[in-house]
Amino acid sequence: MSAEEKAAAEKPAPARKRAAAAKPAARSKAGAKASTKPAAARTKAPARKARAAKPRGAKSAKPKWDISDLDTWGPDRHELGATIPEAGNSVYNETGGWRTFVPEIDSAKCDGCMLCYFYCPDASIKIEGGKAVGVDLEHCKGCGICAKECPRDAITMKLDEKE
Amino acid sequence: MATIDAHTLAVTGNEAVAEAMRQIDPDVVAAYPITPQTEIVQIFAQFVADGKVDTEFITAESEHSALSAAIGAAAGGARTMTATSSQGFALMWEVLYIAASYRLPLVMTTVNRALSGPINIHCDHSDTMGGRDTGWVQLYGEDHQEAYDNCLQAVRIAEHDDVKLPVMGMLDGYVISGAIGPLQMLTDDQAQAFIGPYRPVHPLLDTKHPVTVGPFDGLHGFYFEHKVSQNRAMDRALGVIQEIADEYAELSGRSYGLVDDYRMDDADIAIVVVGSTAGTTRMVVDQLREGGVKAGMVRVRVFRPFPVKAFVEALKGAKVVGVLDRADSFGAQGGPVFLEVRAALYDSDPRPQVLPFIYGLGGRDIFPDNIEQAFAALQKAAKAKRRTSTERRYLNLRED
Repeated sequence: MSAEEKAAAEKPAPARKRAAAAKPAARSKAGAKASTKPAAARTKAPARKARAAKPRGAKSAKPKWDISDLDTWGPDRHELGATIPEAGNSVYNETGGWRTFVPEIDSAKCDGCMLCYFYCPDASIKIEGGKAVGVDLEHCKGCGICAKECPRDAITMKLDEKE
Repeated sequence: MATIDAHTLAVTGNEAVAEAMRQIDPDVVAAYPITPQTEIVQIFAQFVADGKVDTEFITAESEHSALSAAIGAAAGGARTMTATSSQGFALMWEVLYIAASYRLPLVMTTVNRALSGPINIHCDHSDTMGGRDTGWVQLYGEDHQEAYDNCLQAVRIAEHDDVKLPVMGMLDGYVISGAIGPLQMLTDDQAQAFIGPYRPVHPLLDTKHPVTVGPFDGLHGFYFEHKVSQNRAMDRALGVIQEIADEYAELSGRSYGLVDDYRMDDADIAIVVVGSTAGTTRMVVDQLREGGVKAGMVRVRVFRPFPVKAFVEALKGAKVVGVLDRADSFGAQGGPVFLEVRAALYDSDPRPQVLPFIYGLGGRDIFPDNIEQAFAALQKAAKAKRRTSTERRYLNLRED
């Protein structure tokens, strides 16, 4: 890592500050119904670390709208008009199953601009220490927007090898 | 239907509907003008401008947009109405299905008009008959009074907890929409008390309970279950429609069934008809009865859901049934109403003959003579030893 990159990583950009402050707030709202533990953790630790403490996709708590046995539902059990009656419940549901390509992040190249994080339609970019360090594969659809937007070419799309 | 007394108004069918909409005072009306419906939204826009309603009136740039805006408003939690005709109805096509599948209780008046081409602005039922599978409840009115009465009842049907489906109420273009006829109205207070307050399910504007409307069905796929759910709501709607009609009858003194039968008790031959032509048919039935012919009539009021039992019951004992369709289903065995009625009577014992008639396309006049011709064909079939051909018969067609 060059001195310049180090400096960039250590000195958070104003945009990053805003994102770090705004994101956990939104998450706590979504998770508030079912989870109290992460909220407590968030108030003590700096926001950025709290994010890392509870990875996206963790199924530690049950959502109010339990669809765990959805495959057994008949016509009368579904919500009227297919409405999803609860916000933020993608935390509880894996939605990344139809990916063909998967982003591979070279954190050494990352300068912490956060563009991948902002552009990601599924909020699947994991940020640690101000840098993109990985992808939440339970929600990433492999759209490739992050790779397209990254100004430092730190993200490449690789064919997703499925077992 | 309408009684004439000191309280009777003389209005066009469109005015009758606009007055019903004024009394309903919906939260949102999104519409685009099209002949012969224009007058409805024109009058209603005047009500908005004059402060007679609290409605948010959205002047859309097309019918596709009008219904889309109405769907958005309804999803937001607003009691929403619109109106259209013909090409406008056709332009709404894809969103008609969206409204029904989202289970939004929209109410739309459709003034029946032919579909192009050749371009034609007159009455037939090809627009809404084409939309019979969109998942909307369909009420076909006969006259000015029923256009008004159906409009009020439609709100209750659509919003009923057992239904939650959009409802379209029809009236014949020009014959009813533009012609002046008698109308008796409820008072504004009576109308408001009848429709009651609207309690939307999962409205988008309830920001304390955020929801997602119209999500992708996902790879697991529950589309099939949702379609069955829609159909179950349609089945339940039959009972609800009658229940609400009975309640309305107590209030107004005007009673409506799922079908409207006339002199059917001992009828040997019967005509099934939709819309304003029922008036002419009643007159012909009376004339035939005077001549000793046991003729009767069944008018279709509710076409979706199709009230099979009510038809079987009304047509019980009839030897030959003629179905008058004001729309054709090209390449099918007959018009849409014929297909339904014939299928409904398949299990009747004895099974009556059902003959298809097509009339009035593009506003072609239908005279008492033409209905007499239809009855004559039914009489002939009733006397014939062999079953009569079920090829289409055309009334008042210029033959070459």
